[in-house]
Amino acid sequence: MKLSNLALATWAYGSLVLVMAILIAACAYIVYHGGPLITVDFLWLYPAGMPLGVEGGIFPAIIGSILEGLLTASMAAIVSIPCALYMVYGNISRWKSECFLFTLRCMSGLPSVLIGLFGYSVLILYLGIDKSLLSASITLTVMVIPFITLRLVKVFHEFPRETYEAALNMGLSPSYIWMHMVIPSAMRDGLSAIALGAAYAMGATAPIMYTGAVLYTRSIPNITDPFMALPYHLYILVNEGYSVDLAYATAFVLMVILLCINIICRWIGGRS
Amino acid sequence: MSTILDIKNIEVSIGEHPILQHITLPITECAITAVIGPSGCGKSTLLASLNGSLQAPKKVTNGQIIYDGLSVDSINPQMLRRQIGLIGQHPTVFPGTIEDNMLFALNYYKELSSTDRKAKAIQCLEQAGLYSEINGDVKRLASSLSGGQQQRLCIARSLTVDPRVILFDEPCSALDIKNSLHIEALLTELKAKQTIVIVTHNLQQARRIADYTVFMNDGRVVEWGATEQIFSDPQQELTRDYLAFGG
Amino acid sequence: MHLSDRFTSGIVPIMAVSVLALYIGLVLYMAIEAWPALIHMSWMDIITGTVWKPMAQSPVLGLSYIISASIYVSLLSLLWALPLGIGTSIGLSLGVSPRIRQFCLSTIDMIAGIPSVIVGFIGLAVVVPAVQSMFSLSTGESILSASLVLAFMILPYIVTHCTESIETYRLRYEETALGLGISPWHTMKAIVLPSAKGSIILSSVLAFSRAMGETMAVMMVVGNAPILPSLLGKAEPIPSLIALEMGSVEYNSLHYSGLYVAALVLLMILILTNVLVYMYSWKTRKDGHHEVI
Repeated sequence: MKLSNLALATWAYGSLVLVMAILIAACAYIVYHGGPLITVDFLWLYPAGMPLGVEGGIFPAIIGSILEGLLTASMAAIVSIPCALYMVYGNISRWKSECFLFTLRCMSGLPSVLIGLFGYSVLILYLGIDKSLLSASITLTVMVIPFITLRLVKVFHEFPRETYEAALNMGLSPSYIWMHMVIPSAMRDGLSAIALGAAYAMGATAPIMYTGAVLYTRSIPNITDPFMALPYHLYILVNEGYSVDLAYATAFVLMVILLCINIICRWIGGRS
Repeated sequence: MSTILDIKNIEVSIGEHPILQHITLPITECAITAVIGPSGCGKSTLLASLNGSLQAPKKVTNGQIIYDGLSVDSINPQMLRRQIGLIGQHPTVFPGTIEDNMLFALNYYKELSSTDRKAKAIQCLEQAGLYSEINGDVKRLASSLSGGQQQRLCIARSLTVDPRVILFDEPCSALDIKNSLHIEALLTELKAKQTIVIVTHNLQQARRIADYTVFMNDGRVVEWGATEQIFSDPQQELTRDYLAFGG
Repeated sequence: MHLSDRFTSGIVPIMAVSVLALYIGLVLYMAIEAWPALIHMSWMDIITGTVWKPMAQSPVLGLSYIISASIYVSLLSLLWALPLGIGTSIGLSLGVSPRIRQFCLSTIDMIAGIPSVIVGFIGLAVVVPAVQSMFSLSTGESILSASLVLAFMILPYIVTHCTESIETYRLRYEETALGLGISPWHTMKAIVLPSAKGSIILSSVLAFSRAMGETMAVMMVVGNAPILPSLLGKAEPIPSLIALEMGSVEYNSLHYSGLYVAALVLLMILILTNVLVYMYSWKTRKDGHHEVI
């Protein structure tokens, strides 16, 4: 092997090993420090101690994050599915479809803090809605719509165009074909796209900081109540220096929940 | 015999660029009309314009098509496609079982009771000669059928909505000779009740089954008439050349 | 026509158009909210001003330290992440079997799903003390720490994109090159990398725009002091500024508007980079190349 090629190969293998090692080490670090701290009490109790959070568990934060994920996913699905159908089957001009794609691609990279600022200004300051699970989920929905819609567009594109046209040529309406043929066959990949969006939302901190997440709740939140969420709880534990141990454990729980969603979705997506 | 579709001097264009010009053609009811011509001459475009399924940016820019005394533009596109079906080159079975395929449109129209729908599905499958071939096992996955069977399933499926005209766009081009003959036989049976327009690049096929033959070239109809007359005594030089060398 | 058809066919375009309107509205909203501050001080004064005193009697909204902190951290993180990322992509493309490549890519994909608050936490627990002891600083919270954490955040993104474009070109040229007796590594160096250069640059541009907007991970390790940024000193990038101050602003004050000016800067960078990428992919599509981004 020539010397310059050898250098290239060294660089390639070196970075590959280093990058994989760093990425896996980061996960392992949380597992190593957080894993042993997980107890039944930690998962099932409310935060306790003074200040709140230095003792006890994170039960309301787990429930809050799951509710937030579900609410965001359902609201985003209601918007994203028609939007993706329109982009794939709406017979729109090239120009219009480029316009949609550009907007969605651009906005899928919108920094989460801007979404948080937008949601806080419009919902809390302008409309005067109380900080709640609902207002936080609406904010997160704005964040995940481009993420989910772009994936759904890809999923719907995979349904064969000829089959769709064959159904049209029997005099069936587009919406009947969507509801009874396109969506059922896209169900698996579509749900996995929506779940990935939910996972993305559940990991976000900045958008919910001022739109609904709080330090402590006494009960399972209603849709109009403020709520506890894992990422925000973790941030407070770390930032205020309340308890490093509980921070590791909280990070572990959050990471496990999100990685599980990710693995399941990819496994489902990979099978079809 | 009467004319069911009367194409009157239509022109189809992409933007300013015409791809079909001065097409005037009566389609006779309960007969098979074959459209032949070199690739790219606009045969498929002509078919698509008949049931209003032209894809943008293609557009009918001139003339009109009369179906049952009405211009096709004035008919609700869904109603039009129900009455004028189109079957493409490749078999396009729907996801699911054979029964799912057959009931898909019937469940939409909901004009029959659920038992009648099933009976209708079986009757259409029988008509396509498929029911006995699958031994009545309608719960089989449609995608498990062979290519030729899939194409016949598509034909049977289109029969469930009782179309008056069925347009075929090279239905046999993806099939071997045995399956093609099977479909040809089916088409000949269908013409008792349905009007059939078939685009084909197979001249022998046109000669075997068609009552009328249309020869198209470069977006125009060069010549049309009874099949025997076109094949044995073409009037135009272009037709003669194509029949001699082109097929 | 069925009633349900009418409902569905009505709702679909309405939803699509409202999504478009939502995001265009979001951009306009940010511009409108930033307007009072832009009248109070000119664009130029805000961009070049160094003093950020939004609560003063007559608020001073100088963003230059804050914007330069953002750019400093992001560029530095690219400096760490790009060589590693591109190297990894080459390694994945040439050095390993397809099975291992697939495994690595899905692992990387998965790790990209780790929320930034966890990454920030790890940074605070590992990177900050390390930087602190290595340079004997009073605190390790610095631009350097932030850039290392940020490099971790954008690595998966760079690797995924670069591998995709490198693979595209490798598959296109490999057979021909092998047929000519050229080794795969030489093909990579002489043909594949030069062809993929454009899309690699573009993915770095996109990674830069991601890095600029990254909030939690950076905020937790950067110290958050709006001073002149230096490698080992504290700083306060744009997202940190917004995240830390938005909770306490008075609605419709100049302070509030000033935060929107900062937001607008981020938004402009986002839109600009996307336009750039769009124009490039438009050009390559017109040239008849396969779309790589």
